[in-house]
Amino acid sequence: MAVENFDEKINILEKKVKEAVSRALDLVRLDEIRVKYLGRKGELNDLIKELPGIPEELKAHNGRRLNSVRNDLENLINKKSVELKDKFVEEKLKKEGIDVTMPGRSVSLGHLHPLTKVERRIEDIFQSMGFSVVFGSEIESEYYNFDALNISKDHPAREMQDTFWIKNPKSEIQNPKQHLLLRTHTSPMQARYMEKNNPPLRIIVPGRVYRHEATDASHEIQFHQIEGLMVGEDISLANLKAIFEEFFKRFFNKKKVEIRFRPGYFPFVEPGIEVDIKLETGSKWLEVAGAGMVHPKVFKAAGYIPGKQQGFAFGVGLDRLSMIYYGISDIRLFYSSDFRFLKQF
Amino acid sequence: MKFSYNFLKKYIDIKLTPEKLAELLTMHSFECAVFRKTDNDSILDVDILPNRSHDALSHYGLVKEIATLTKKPLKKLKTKFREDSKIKSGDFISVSVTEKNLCPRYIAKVLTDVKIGHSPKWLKNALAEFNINSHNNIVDILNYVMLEIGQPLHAFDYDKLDGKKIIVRTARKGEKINTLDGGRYDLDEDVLVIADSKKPAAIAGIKGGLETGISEKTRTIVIESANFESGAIKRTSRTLGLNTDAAIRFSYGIDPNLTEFGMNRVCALIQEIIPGVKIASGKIDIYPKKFLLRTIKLNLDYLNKLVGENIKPEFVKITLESLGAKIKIVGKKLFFVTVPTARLDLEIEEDLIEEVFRIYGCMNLKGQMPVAAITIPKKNDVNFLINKTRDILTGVGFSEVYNYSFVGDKDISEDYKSKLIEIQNPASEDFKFLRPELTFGLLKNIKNNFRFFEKVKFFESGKVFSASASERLSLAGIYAVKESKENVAGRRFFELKGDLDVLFENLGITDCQYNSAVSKWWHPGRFAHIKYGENFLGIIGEVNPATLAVLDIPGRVAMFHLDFEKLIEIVEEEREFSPISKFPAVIRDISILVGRETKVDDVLNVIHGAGAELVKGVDLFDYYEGEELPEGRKNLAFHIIYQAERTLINEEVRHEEEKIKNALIKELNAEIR
Repeated sequence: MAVENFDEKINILEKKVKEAVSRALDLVRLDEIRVKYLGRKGELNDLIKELPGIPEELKAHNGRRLNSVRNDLENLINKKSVELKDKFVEEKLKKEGIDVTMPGRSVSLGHLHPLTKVERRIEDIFQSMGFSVVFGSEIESEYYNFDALNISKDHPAREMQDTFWIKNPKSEIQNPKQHLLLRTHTSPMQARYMEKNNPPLRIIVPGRVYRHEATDASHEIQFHQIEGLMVGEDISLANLKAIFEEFFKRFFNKKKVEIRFRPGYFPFVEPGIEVDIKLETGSKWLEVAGAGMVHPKVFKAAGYIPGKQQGFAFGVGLDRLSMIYYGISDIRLFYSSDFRFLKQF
Repeated sequence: MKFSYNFLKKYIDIKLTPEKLAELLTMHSFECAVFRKTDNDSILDVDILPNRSHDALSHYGLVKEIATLTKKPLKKLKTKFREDSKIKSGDFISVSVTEKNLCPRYIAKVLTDVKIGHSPKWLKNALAEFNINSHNNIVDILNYVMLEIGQPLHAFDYDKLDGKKIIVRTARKGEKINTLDGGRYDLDEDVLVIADSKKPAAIAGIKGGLETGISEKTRTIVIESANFESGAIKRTSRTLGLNTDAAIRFSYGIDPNLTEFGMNRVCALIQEIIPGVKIASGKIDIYPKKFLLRTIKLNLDYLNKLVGENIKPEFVKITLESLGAKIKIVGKKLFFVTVPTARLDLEIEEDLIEEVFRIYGCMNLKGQMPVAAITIPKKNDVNFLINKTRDILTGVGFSEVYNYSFVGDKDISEDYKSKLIEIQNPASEDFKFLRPELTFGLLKNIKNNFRFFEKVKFFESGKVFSASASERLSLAGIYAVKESKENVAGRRFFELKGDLDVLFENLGITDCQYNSAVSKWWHPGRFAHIKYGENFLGIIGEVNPATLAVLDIPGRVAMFHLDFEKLIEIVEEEREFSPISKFPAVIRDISILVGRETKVDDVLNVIHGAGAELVKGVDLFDYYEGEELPEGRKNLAFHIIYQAERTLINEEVRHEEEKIKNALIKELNAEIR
């Protein structure tokens, strides 16, 4: 066998493989090429088997050349393999293409009630100012709803808030601690809380209250209040004003909310005030709270020693504040359970 | 109350426009607005606060307030008149007051030669501004004086009074009275009356009687200016359903010393308006317990500490004096303030502080943050859990509603009513009882929302009420779908149950049991009690289609309701962290054929009761019923998790599995696949 012939054979094989690889269109074909030329029974191995027959002085040269060709071709096939794989994936993904402008498919979350959202907002702000949140009962005794709050039997204030009374088989109950009603305000918790806790204290009491009155866009037989109470050695009306200024500023997320106090009357505070706010310069004053300094008789009813403490109390209408916050014009919507309304929150 | 701007200006010289006056009053005294403008007057609507109605519910009363605010002098009302010394009031009539507590003061005076006729035009016009009809000159003058100074007055026809006597007493049962306005009232011992020797002549402080009233023929009159106890007048006014201008004023309480001023003012006006009237000299004045001046201590340091301002002693002095108070100053900071009797509301130091503060100007107060140390607020666990629950439920698609706390008479079956709390004075028949469950409200929400939506998923948390437990916090949810066909039996039930699983898991409650049950209103095959150990936690179920038909609701409706207070207790109990095991768990699956009626819970009970102590958990992962299976059988497949505080070997797991399989075969006639 001619030596130049062997060299030529290697060249021909190398050329054939390179051509085949460049023509291969898929991974199956490429694998066939690998088996046919570089496999155990492939053409390259056939040439290796011929090596012993060539002259001794050329053996080493041809042996090295065969090895280097094998490495080159394997690299070539591997490289081509990667190319084909990439191409395959690319084509497959191309077929999976979608119209990204189609609408998304979402899991629909429910909606919290607007009063819940506003109540949380209020609670968060007051809690950050050190007020604890406490709850009271909706069924309350005549004593805590009226008597303990300095609203005596024939007081004009009982006239102002007509009350739902609980029917009782023992029709005429004289003991006001047993005579039950639906609380007309959250204020009974002032007396109940102070009976069990000593000053200094600061609490807010959110909850549902009831009034027997004709309903319209701004009146409901049930609504929600948030009572506030802060008592200490020297808690003043000026403190209340600062607390309100801070609260309303944060509640409405504004740099400043104008607050105005004017005279008001609630039997359980003295002095008593009404609180108005103004959200924009030039807009109307909005009445948002009743407040004042806790009346000495309320402290006395709660068992405090007279003259040892002073503090403020306030009541904010949750429904009213929510109406202002969201621009809702009819309080009855809150209790309509109309999803067209609820889904907006 | 409505006030005439011109009327007010008669008593004080002010330059303020009606609008400015309204603003001044709003900021210092009472909320006030210009209600209506006429050609030459403005009517102000002033919301006199209840504690000031005794002194400010009249033009002259309000002018006193304006005088204090503007520092302008008050014009004196004419109260001087000439008496006829030849006749004496006491010779005409005698007065006795038997109910001294209900009538602290009674003044009577007699006028003769009265010519009853029309009032002058100015007087008619003045009354017309306040929607008071003109009757005759005497009655009109009495009404005018009430509007002017706030003292209600009455006049009797002297010749109609039997026995020439006036007796202030309670009525006797069976007595009746015809009133001036055409009413007829049955009286009893709770009603205070002004009687003559035979009959009631007036309902005290509320309305005069027809028989003794002023008529065209009247020549001699007895004028009454009296004071009545506020509570008695209010109760009677309410019981009889008779609310008059006089009753309103007495209901708020009036200074007994105003009666004399009222009598003098009336006599002066009558003499001015009706010529020829003779006013008998002297008066009958029954006033056993004099209403005395009060002196209240005011400490200026306390004033400024309570308000949080620095109001100067001089300002305090001027302000209180402008209210008619007399002041004695001890040292620099201690005032002894004697207040006029007209100000019934000024009783304690804080009342005086309010007066100074509002006249100083509430709006001038500067905010000042409290200096008290900030304390960390106590966490409210109930609130925390309610809010967490709300977030979880909205996370699985529920929207929150607030329904009414009431249910109607029609909503409740007769036998159930005795268990409920009933309202004595309900707003209407639809609000007669307090809701015993939240489900009533939720069910009512469906129909309206089905007009606009195919599905409704609502929840509510709130108080429920019962005669036995008073009030409890409850949680309920409703899932309603208009389409009643279902591709999987009980699909809506299981979707709702799945939502509850999410809730329980997130609250840290594991192992609730669902026991099938039967109850009115509910689907007999799709209703369960939810229990946690021995505790009854609530219910879940589909509403009986028959119930839905009655309510005119299409489709399927599943609901749950839970005793939220019980839930809170359990969350507290379960708040225990179990450490994650260092040793691997072994999971083996088991697939069985059982009878169709066998419940998953039955199988779980058998597995847990088989004595295999290494079992840490069992989960159903496949469920199948179909034609390929033997008649009346279904296929269930479970993952069973084995774990111990050591690494388990195959042999012991296999041993446990055998125990379970044997138990299933023996107790449920199961076929292991």
